[in-house]
Formats: sequence, structure tokens, C-alpha cells
Amino acid sequence: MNTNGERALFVVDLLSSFVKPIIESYAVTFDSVLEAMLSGEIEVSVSQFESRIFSTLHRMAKEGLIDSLESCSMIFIKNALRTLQVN
Amino acid sequence: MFKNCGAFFIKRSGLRFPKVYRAYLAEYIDYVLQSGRNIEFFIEGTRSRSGKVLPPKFGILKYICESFLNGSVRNALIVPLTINYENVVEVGQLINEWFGRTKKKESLGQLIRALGIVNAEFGDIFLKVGRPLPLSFFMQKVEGKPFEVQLEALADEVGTQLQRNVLVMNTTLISALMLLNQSDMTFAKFMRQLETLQECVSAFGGKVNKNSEDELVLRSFRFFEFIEVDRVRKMIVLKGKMNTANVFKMLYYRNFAFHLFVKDALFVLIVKSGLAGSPAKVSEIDKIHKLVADLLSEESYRLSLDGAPLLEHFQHNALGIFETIECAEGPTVN
Repeated sequence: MNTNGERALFVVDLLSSFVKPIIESYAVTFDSVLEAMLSGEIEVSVSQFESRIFSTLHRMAKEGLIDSLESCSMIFIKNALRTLQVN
Repeated sequence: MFKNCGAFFIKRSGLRFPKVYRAYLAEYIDYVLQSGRNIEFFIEGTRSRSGKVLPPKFGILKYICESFLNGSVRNALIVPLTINYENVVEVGQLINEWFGRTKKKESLGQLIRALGIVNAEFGDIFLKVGRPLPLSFFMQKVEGKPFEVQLEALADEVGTQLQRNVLVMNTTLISALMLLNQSDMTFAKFMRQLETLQECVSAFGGKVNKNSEDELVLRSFRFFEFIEVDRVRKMIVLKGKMNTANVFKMLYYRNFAFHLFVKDALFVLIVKSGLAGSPAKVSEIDKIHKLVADLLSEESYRLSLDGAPLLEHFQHNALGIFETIECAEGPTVN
């Protein structure tokens, strides 16, 4: 880093890169759950639901709508759905 | 073979009589402790699929505490051990699970095929022996509290030590930087960023592998088959576009440092987002942090347990990084 400013920006980017994509992916997962609930689609199986969110996240990452593939994994989606108490 | 080595198997699901099974297991652990033998167990209860440190499970720890409390043993010494691998040999299998594929059940054939592992290159392996914790001493500290609270405090103490002793390996440093840049880099740029990242790790309470001199870090690129170190042009070159599996692999390695940065990363994001006002109000930052920390409770252990206010936490850590840091007086952050 040439200057303190550059260094500071790098550290801020570094820190953001750890958490921002996760929060974005939580938002996408939350949206999907909400959408399903509002459309009355409450009987879909969890595994189908997980696959659907998995595809949505990957599509959004490809289109550059979310920062990275950070949370596009099934492990993350299962965690997110557990937090949102979807079962 | 495992049984002859003294291992015992634990059923975690599909139990017909769970209460009987647990009583039997508790009795067996009590017997092992009474006979003065050591028990090695994995407090996270399973392998972390994401690379992040998992919250401790109470099972075996509970039985050990019960043996102590009912007077079967006079004391037990709990020694937290942290093992770090530079190259995690089953990373491919774990990444398969990231794609939603189910884990293959272990079999004898698989064990025989896995013998090839002895020829695999693991890079550096570090074993850190934490501070031994005498149960008699610890239980005195939490005496009078309900058993569940005592157990949680003990698990937390062990978990915290394990987390503190995680060593940030070269594969983690490389992954964090390559994910951030996602492009070819000159050696010079990579080394500049590496130096700052290493400083960040130390300032944020982590430990860096002592074998992290420039040349050794460059050598660790061999664990990433999709990245080439071009020593003639002094460039780090991505071989083609990074596919999802490659990104997942780097995310897995990067997550070994997740617990170090997550709290301050949240702080930075909340302030940057403007959600806490502009300039950000400390009270608003705390409110949003509590909400997000609850949401991310599955992602990080001890995210919301630490009572230190977020700003104080960040200032404490960031002062080690920035030579000059200006904080506004009063309840706002610029």
C-alpha cells in the first residue's frame, strides 16, 4: 500500500468481503421465503425450496447482482433456512 | 482396528432407546475416566463443512462434568488442542456438499482406497496445545449456578481457547487475497496486500503461520491447481475463469479466518451502509448489530456473546492497523 488511505480502503474492502455477500444472500433467501409465503406456496418440500434458492443465488452471482459466490452453497442455504425457521 | 486402538463409536441418530443409550454412554465414559485413561474427543461434534469454527457441542463434556460432580473422579484436566492443516485433504468431498451432494457413507473399501492419503502432500500442519483447564478449578468458579449454565460456561471457555489458537495458514491468506482481487496480480501487488493482511490478522487477535515469508507463501499456491505462479514475469496468473468449485475451495480456506474479522466487518458494513445515520449513531450501530448478529448466529460462533461494544472493539483492533485513525467525539462515527 502506498498511502495510509490506500491501506485503509484495502482493509475496509477486505473486511466487507467477509460479510457483505452473506448478508446479501440472506436477503435473497428471505425474499424467496416471503415470496413463497405470499403466493400461498407453503407446501413445497424443503429440498425443492433449497434447490430453488441455490439456482437463484447462482443466477444473481453470474449476473453480478450479488458480490460473489460466497454464500451460494447448500451449506449456507440450509443454515439460512434454519435461522428463518423454515421446515 | 479402531476399537483395538481404544476408540469407541457414538451413534448420533436413529436410536431406538435414546435414554438407555445415553445412560450407557455416560457410564462408559465414567468408567474410562475412573481408570485414569485419556479421552480424545472433538468438541465441535463434526467436521466443519464451511471451514468456519463451529459452536461447541455439550455431549461428552456433559458426561465428564457429571462424573466429576457425582464424585466418580476427583478431577479431570481438559486440554484444548487445535490442529491446522495447510492443505485439507478432503476439501474436494466437502465442496461436493456445498453443491448439495450428499456425503458418501464411510465403508471398508473407502478406507482402503483412502490409504493413498499417506502419500498426499499436506503442507504445514500445526498442533497447538492450549492452556489445560482443571475441572475442579473451573467448577469452583461457577459453583452455585444451574448445571446447564456451568456446562455452557465450560464449553465456551474451551471453544474460545480453540478459536484463539487457530493459526491462519498460507492457503487462507492466499484465498482471502485472490477472492478479493479475482484477477491476475503482480508479485509486488500481492506482497503488499499480503503484508497488510498479515498485520490485520495479528491486530485482530489471530496468529499467522511463522512460515509465511514471501517465498513460502508463493510455494503454497501449489495447492490451488487453477492458479499459476509465473516467476519469469513475476505474476500470479489465474488459469482461465475461476469456476464455482474453485471459488468454493478458496472460500472454504478463507473461512478459517472468518471468526477473526466478522465482528469488525459487520461494524464497517453498518457504518458504510448509512443505515445507522450519517454520521452513524453508536446507539443505532448497536441496534442493527444485534439484529444482524441474530440473523448470522448460524454463521459464526460467539458473534453476539461478546459484551464489548462494537465501536470499542473496532477501535481496539483497527488502531493496530491504521497509523492514524480519527474518531469523532460523542455518540457518532465518521
